[in-house]
Amino acid sequence: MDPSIGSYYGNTYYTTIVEGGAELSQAVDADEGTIESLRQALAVRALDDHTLQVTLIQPTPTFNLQMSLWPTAALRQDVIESHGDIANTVWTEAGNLVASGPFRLAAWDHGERIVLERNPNFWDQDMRPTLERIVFSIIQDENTAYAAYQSGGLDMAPVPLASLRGLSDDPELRRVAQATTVAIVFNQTHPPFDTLNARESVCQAIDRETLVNEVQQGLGNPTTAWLPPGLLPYYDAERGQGLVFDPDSVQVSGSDPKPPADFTSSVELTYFNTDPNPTRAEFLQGQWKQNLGLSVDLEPLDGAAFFEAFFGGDYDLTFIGFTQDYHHPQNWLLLWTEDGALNTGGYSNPEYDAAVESALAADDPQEAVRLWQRAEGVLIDEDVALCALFNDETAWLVKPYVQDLLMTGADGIPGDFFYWQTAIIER
Amino acid sequence: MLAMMAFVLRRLLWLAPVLFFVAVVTFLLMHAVPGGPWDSSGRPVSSTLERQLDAKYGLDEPLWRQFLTFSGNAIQGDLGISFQLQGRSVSGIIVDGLGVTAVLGLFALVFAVVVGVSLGVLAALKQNTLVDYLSVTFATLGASTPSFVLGILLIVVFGVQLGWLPVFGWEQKWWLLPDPRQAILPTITLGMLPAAYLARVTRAAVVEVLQQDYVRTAEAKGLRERSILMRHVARNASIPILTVAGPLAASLVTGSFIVETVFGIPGIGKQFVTSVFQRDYGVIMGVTLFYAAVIVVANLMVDMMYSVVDPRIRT
Repeated sequence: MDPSIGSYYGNTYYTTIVEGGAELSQAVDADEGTIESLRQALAVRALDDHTLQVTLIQPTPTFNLQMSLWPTAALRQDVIESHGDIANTVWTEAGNLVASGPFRLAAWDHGERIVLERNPNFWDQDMRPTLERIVFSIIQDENTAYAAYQSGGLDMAPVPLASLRGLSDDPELRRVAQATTVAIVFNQTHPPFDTLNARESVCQAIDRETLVNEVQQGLGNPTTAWLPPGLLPYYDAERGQGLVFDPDSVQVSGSDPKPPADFTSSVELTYFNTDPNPTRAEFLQGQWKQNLGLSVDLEPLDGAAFFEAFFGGDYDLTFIGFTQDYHHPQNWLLLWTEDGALNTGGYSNPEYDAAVESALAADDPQEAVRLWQRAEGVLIDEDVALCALFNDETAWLVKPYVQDLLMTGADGIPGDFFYWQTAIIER
Repeated sequence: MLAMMAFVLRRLLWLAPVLFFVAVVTFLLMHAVPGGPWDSSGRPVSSTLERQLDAKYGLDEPLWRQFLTFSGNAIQGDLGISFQLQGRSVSGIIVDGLGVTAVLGLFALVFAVVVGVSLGVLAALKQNTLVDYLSVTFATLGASTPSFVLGILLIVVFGVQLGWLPVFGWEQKWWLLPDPRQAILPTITLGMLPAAYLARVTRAAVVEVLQQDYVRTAEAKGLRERSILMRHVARNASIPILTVAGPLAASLVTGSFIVETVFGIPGIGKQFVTSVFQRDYGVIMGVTLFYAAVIVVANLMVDMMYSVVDPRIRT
């Protein structure tokens, strides 16, 4: 939350719930004296060596979830500072990094590999890892990684989408549904997407089944909701039913056409140019042309250019994927409020913000479920601020001798939440 | 000898304006591309944080002043620090990757010269025979197969199907030298294009020299074939071969971008590709200038070798 740290997540996840957090994080231009007094005012206290006291603005059911995320991992400030300026990353190098997890960083050859070793001093004796060492090979070309797996050089590797079909019966293939939603985002400050009609038509013109079966090679599940299906009891299977693919209702020249949206201006689809996004973009372009008669130009951008355009609101249409950091609708729905982190297309509806606000403040769990569902209803059904396409899935190959690899829907790398119990049995 | 030194000196003096020109163009292009160093993470960076970071790294200054600062530091040997690997100097990053890239480039050059020149000479001596046709086929295939295709092909055949060789990595085992098994596939992949090119040029050069009057004279004098080849043919045919050696050195440098990425080799080429995507301005400038200097020096060495094989060029 301290502006001098410059944390990406501090602002997003903690300043809104901890007393004094917002004031401290916004004091970027204040003088050092003011910042210091705001640091003192932040309601986080170490009462003794083992007790942390945090005072919240209001009762926050997600507090425990948020405290278990990586930005709150305990680190030794004196160790970090002994390696110079905290803004440098020298303290994160192998040999310098002191952390408290079940594994420790034994080696980090940049761009080559990361080696973790079992931490003999891990505090929780019941969760001492079985594995002694984990080697992550950093391979940029996914086909090389796949070849390395096949030749026995790796114990697990992601499957390139193009190779997935041939592996459907492979017992080493592991597919796990991800808490990820891929969705189209509209720039509501650019015509024609300032009208509900245009957003609705564009959304209804996409055959999600074909998208998943053909472009995604069957990986993933079509959806019209923003919340992923695993997010129970908040997920509502009826969400976005009005946006399901319906070529008849969007035919501009059909027998009973809807009042056509104004698609006379030229429209661009901006996307992050990394596999398999180009095929996804071409598919969407084809769908809009075929089902809607709408011509869309493609604008592929590399990572830095794409995120500058996305966060700067410099696009007409784009698509993004979001994977949850913690299992709660708050993580998903705070993103689209007036100043939400992903709301870069100028979506603004006081009713939505009020719905999120009241869901955050709800005391009764039943009531909270109803209020979060209400908020998603405004976002998807009433406003079509987003057009959800599918929930993603991961496909990895794992050798049979890797045992008890527990994969979840929010893994960075499969099993990374539970490596402590993974084991290698005799090959 | 004095003329030679003056020649080398003159060429070395040219290095400064060449590097300056490369620096200006790279700097302008790099800043003209949308997206900055803080955008590549894919996370929202607040405008206040961005301002703070810009100020810390001097990116809030006007471009011309940033360029002057960079040039001033670079002249003193300080290429600045990396934005992404904070706390690491650009020169340190170059030195780390250089060992790997240089060894790989050297292996590939040796492969290209040995394979390319022998095939070319063989084809020229056995003109219009099966050997010649095979060599020309090899040269055409080698020159027209992109290295990422060849790399993946070699990986699938020798790594996956036959299981003979590892498919990625470059662990330095003995000082700068890697495990030879890891080096084979990348060396062939990187060396194939120059080998094919050299084979073609060598064949043409040797064929031409073989038709010269002095070769016929030497044959008429009754010189042994080996001595004709070594004394008359090799020396005269080496001039066109050396001419392409400069651009070939450059192709080994630029080709290693792709080869290093395909085989997961931690050289400068891979580092350079990463730095471009991350808009790591300091690393982009440092590596580009370093490459430019390497190419200039490689061409200079080729020119110096000309004057060794062809006394006429010395004047």
